Amino acid sequence: MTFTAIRGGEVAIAASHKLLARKRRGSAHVADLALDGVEGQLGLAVDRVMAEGGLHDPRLAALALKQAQGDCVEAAFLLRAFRTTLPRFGATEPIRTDDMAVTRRVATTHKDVPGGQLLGPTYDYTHRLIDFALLAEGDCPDDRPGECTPREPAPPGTMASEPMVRADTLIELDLLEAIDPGPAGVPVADLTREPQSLPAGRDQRLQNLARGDEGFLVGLAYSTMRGFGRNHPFVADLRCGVVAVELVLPEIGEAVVIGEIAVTECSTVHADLGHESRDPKLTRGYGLVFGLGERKAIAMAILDRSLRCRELGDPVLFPAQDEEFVLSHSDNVDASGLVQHLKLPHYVDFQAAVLMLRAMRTERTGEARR
Amino acid sequence: MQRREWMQVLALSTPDELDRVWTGLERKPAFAWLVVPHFGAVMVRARADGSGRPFNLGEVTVTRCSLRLESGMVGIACLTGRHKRRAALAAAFDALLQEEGPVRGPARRSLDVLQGRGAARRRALADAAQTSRVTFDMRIACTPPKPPEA
Repeated sequence: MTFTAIRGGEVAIAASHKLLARKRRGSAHVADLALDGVEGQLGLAVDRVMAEGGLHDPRLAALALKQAQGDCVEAAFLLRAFRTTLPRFGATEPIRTDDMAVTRRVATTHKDVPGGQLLGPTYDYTHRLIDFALLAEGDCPDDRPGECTPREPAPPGTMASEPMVRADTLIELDLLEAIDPGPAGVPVADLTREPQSLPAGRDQRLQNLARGDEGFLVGLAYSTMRGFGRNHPFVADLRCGVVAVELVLPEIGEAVVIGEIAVTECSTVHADLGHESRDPKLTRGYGLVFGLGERKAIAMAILDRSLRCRELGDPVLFPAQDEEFVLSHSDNVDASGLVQHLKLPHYVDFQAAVLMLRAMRTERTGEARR
Repeated sequence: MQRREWMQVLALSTPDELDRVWTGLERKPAFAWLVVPHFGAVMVRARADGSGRPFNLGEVTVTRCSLRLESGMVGIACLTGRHKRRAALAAAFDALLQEEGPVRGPARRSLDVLQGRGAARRRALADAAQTSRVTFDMRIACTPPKPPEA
């Protein structure tokens, strides 16, 4: 690939920035969008920007969304650019998602799971009808937060204190793949520091998918369910909530809680029919993303499993099973950059293409005459 | 109470909550910065399948600082998010709590307040989630086979 330096356009670019600022601001008769409103009322967009930007900071993600006029991909790009300016103070202890303060929990493989199922704030059981009550200014009476009361009030704390055991522990052990904690002290791949290398370990794959484009991941996961690399998923456990983050502080010499972050976690189990050398069993997939993002967490878990073909000795036949295809194209900052660079002047490249086609035509007519 | 325990309470308090207990202190200590509050990031690690091999999930912004009280006691803070005042107050309380030692002084009483507020906040969230607890029943509709006629 060749690049040609482009000059000129400074005045037009400055004018374009002004037009952009005006477009972003919208009508002067309407109040400027307050960041608290973006962060508090467009939370799912904020969470998507955090996940794909690879940086947990709701305030900053809200600001990026405001700056990008709600374009999640552009906002994720802004967040990625910002994170490169921050000094890195180390890596946390692995978060303990078992201790998540859960706001939503779904388990689909067993009717009775310890800790129960909590629907939480979900769109799953809404009618998907436009709610014209939201047109009215102010709160609508049925929708004021903090007014929920349990239908059957339980003694305080009793239900919440029941341990929320992972649903996959209810599956007979011989049928389910074991979890491998791996050896201690092994370096963990970090895509923010080293480029992707293939074949990818699961650490690299999960980091890639965690910040991958939601649309790309969901589309590919969908393709496996429609038959392009079937891997029979069941959502064993899906949880949204907050987890504490622990960091070893050198001044103290031990791990200390430094705050908490919102995450969505999805564990899937997949019926693996096995082959001559492998018994039929249930294999695992895992998804974990910043914020509330269950559609993406489920898709991530399905893809995590479908990308294990090589490891499990299965043939790679479809896009969602091909790790080079998936991992190289999941990043929307990369993808959008290359796709959108096509808007830059390509005068020289185009002239080269025209000359080449002309030469080929001439050659062809010459050959025909001979 | 161990230092890591009070640092956890400080880290899980909101900026408002910290501000309120700070404002409530009768005597505000004089201090000098060792490291002024500054922003950075840490990489959040998680484990595949919840308890398997570690991987890097993504970064989280943090604010760090350290200060020294007149007594010479050093307090530090490293908290998620970008909030300089919050980090400064957490570092001040860290120093004050060390200074007080086992004595139940004003800093320790502030910490108790923070702990109570944090617990109430978490309980309220958990209770709210419990209101949407559900048990799905699955009934398979089928007509039982008729007994063979004699």
